[in-house]
Amino acid sequence: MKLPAAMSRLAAIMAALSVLGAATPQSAARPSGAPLQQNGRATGAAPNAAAHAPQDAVAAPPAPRPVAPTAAETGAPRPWPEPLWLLEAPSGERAGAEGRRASAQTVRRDDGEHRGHGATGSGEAGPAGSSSRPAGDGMESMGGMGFSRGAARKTVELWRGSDPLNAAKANMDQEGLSLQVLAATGARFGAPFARSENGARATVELTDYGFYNAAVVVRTVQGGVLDVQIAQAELLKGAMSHGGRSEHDPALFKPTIDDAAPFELVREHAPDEMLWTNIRSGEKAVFVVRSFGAPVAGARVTLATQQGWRKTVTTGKDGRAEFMLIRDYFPDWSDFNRRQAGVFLVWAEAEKPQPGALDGRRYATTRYQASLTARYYPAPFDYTSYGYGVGIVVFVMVCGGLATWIYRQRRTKPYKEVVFDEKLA
Amino acid sequence: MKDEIELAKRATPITASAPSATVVSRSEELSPYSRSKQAREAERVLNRIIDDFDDNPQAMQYFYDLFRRVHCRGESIAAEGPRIGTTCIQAPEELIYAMGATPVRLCNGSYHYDQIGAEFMPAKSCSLVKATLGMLTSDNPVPRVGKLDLVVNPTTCDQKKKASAMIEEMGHPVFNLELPNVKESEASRLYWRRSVRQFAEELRGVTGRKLTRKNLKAALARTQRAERAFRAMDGFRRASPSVLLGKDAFLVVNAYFFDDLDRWCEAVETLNGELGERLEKAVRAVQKKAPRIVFTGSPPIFPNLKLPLLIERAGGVVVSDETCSANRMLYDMTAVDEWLVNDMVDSLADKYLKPCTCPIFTKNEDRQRRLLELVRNFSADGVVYQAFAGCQVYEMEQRSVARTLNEQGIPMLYVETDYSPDDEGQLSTRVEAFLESIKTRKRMRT
Amino acid sequence: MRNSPESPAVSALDWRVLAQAARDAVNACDFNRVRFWLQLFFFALMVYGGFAGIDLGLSLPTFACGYNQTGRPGVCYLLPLQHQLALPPRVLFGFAGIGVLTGFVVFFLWFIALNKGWCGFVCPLGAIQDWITALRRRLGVRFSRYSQKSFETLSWIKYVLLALMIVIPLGIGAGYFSHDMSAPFCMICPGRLIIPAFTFDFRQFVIDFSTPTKIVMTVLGAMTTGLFFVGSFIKKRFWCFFCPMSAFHYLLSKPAAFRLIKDGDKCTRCGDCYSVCDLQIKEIADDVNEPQIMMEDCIMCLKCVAACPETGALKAKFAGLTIFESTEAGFMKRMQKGAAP
Repeated sequence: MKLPAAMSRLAAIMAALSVLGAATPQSAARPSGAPLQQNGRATGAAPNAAAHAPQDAVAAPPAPRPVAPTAAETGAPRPWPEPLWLLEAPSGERAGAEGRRASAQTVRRDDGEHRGHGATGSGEAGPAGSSSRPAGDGMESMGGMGFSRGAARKTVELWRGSDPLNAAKANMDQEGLSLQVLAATGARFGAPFARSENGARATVELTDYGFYNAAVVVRTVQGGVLDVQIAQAELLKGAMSHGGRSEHDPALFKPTIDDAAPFELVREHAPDEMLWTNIRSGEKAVFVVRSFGAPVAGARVTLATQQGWRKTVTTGKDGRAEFMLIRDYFPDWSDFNRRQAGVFLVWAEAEKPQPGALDGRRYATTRYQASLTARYYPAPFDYTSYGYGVGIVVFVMVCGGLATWIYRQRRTKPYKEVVFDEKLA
Repeated sequence: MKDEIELAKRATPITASAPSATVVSRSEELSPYSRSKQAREAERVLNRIIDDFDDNPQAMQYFYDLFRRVHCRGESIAAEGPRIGTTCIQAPEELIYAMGATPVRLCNGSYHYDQIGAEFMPAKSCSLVKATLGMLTSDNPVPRVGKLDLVVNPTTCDQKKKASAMIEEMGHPVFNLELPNVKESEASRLYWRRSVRQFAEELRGVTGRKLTRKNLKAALARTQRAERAFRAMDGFRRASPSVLLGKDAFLVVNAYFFDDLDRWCEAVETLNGELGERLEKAVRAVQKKAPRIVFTGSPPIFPNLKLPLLIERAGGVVVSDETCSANRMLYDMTAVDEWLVNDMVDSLADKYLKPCTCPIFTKNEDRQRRLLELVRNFSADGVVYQAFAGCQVYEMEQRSVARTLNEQGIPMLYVETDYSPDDEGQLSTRVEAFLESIKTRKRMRT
Repeated sequence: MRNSPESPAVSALDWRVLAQAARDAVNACDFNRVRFWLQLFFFALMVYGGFAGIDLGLSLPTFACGYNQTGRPGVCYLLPLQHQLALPPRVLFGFAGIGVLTGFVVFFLWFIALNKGWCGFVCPLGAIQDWITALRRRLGVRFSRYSQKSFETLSWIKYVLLALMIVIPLGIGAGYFSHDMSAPFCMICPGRLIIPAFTFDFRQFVIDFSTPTKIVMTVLGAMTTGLFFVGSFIKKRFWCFFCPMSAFHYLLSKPAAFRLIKDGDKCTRCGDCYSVCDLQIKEIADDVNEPQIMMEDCIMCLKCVAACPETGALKAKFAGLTIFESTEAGFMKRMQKGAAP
């Protein structure tokens, strides 16, 4: 048909659809997230009183959770302190009301609020990804070009506690705490921690794509022991796989290792991981404990999920600790949210008999504790099915083929259409 | 110009010797037929074709001899397989060839048969139909078509349509090929495709063979060879002045009615070769100032080449035509997308229906455009429109064609005639006047 | 060998002669073979180009499927378009507006270079359909046609899909629809399942049961893929008839550089072009008045030009320069099959 006719046809259809859309009630959006306490992490689940606890005090956990036995219990002078850890707040570049949400956990307007959530630090979360991406998620939030061109703003909060669900925000009891960030290019910069409601937070701007190794170090000497607590965060300025060539540079896909750090915990990336991370239940989470870049053997690494499951392994010569993330999201099916993020906390502990003095206080031995957090998602095979997919394709092919064949056969029978036999050569 | 040479080169096989045909003395022949009125009529026309013009191409000798043998001496042409008579060009001959039969075009140009047919046809009937029926009524007609296993009669004009029943009465098995009278609609396209398929079924019954990919492809290739040879030959008439006269061109294409296909192709390819040479050597068939005419209308069929001969004897040259005994028969080529039988047959059907400019259709815009395009392409100076008396469709279309040509400033001569030789004198006067007026116009323009 | 009357006098280096010879060679080429190789080349480019580091941006006017993350040389424009339209209105019409417009302009510029030739030569989904058609021919199965009435009714579908593709993301942005419906056309596009499969990525073949919307969308996608296979087997270029990208193209095609031009005067209405047309477009044969003969369904595969026996009746022109033209000689060469000497 001619062009003006085509245009008017399209306009007519769109007008009809708009009227239809306006007339129908709003589609059932999913109920707001966090349906289950266990699966969601409501703001400040722990009593706020814990926020003002003294520096080393462990937040009062209402429910006793088993704590991995530390070397301390076997006779060392003091138990290991509760781990100090950083949690990345889900504020993306599209700062605004959503960004200011204090919740460290994802709270959704509907099930698909795809801005500012997800384990990826990128403002465009949940993009095309590695093998761990939920199938069908597709390019969910390819919000478009231009947004990732600017600097990504990341905010981290300081928490304390060995149980992610029941931990409390840590006080900024030490002045001058600053977040040190190492970029993949080797550049270093820092950001100071500022007091926020009940806790401390720091904000950094990441300009280049890649994984940034951020850490804040708290040193305390007590009873002749120097406790070095390193709260780390792996910050990502990521992007979807389209776009500039810079995002395809494989060097950017690797974790950033700090060779100058006396002790650190690094998450080992999957071989097909690119500039986005989506850790899933059912996958292995692998961490490497390093000291000045070299792997540390014999360190104790514990992983604790927010559901309370935890496991401790000891690193071997290669410094690796492997954990299988168990499936722990069991809502009612109608409440299932495939983007339900849980938080897990992993920390490594190692002791070095290294005497010294800090601020005039002497110590005989040093205990290092490095922590890392990440968000994990339900495993795709929990809610997707290849069988059904392929089955439907094949079914439609067969039915369609059969229907066509029957139709064509019938046309020759009563009417006596003449059809020539192609089989004759 | 280069195109024609290139086409000729491609069309000419290297084994260029014309199929054997010795020059035969024209006078006495011993068979009783050759002394009949009909034979003499044919001989007279043939002699005029040969003698009234000098320097006929050598390769035309094959055709002269062919017509002499077939029309003047009454010889028959061998044909393979069953013989399927056709009364119209719309009967897809590729299907006939594919099934191992031979198509024979029954349309007749002999005044002798015209008179026979007039005995049982209405007075005001088309000469062509009368002649054809007259021929079919006769016991051993010339050209000797032999025993016809089937006569395929597309339902085209009224008179041919009604002739169907008469032919059946004469004892020939007839198949009515249903041709739609409207060609623009989708329904007509589908209808025609179904007709062609039914025709193929009918042929299967007659020949006992099935249509297969291989035999249909081979048949298409054979007719394509004929079409290519024809187009190449036609191309030589584009030259100004033309390298080939219309009377020869008509003869060549009329030979297609009954001659063996491959032999005909070879002969035309030889002719094309010779024409190519003539073109290079600047040997022309007419003088430069000869008015170039496009001939349209009721088909001139040997021996009724009265009007074209008149035009050329008066100094004009028929450079192209839009008639179903010449150009329309061989011009259109089939394009096939998938070389599977079902697709080939559909493509074939479309070729016979869609570009057809026969006046039996409701609208004739395609015919008008074709005429304009022919005039343009062949640099023609005028159009001669022949309508047989009694041919209602051609007579009715005259007005619109005249108007279209008039708008473009192309002179047209409308001639109503029939097979009888009585009006030759009057016609030649009119034709000469027409040609003269064209020459005057050309002179005035330059 | 005979010489042409001109050659003794004209030097062989006369560029005019060479140009004409080149033109003749192009017009008489084995068109199907040329097209086959071009399609193969573009298929490799569009499906595997990413492996070679090719990045043509986010606005490609063809199905370089975005879901084929490893191999794609750029992204089919419909995917970013749907995501952009799904932004909240104040973002879409606010600071993101420039980006959206830029994307569209780039798409438009890509498109008008080749016009619908993107469909006929470059689109990998189109190539797949042509290969399925070739398979059908090998097997000797005849194809089916739509009746005229079906044709006219069904040709609405691509506009409906185009409209939905625009309206639903806008609805998502405005909050009416859930984000599970995002990229609604991509969800039902058979390319989403099929093209990544060529890089052994079968993730798109799943049905996502996490929400009812997702179930519906993924089931629809699987169904259209099944239909795609059946349809392409029976009908030439089955999907192209329903493709919203095709509708989108057509609406923008006025200023395109690559055009299909018909000279109605030379047309004998023989219908050869219609016979070979994959999309059953009647106008190519029947319309002798309109020179811009590219219709809404046309994929500019140029099969019609190759199948036309009248010299100069159909031309494929790029920016006014005739690239490929129907010629009698070319037709004869191409339609030669069987035992022609």
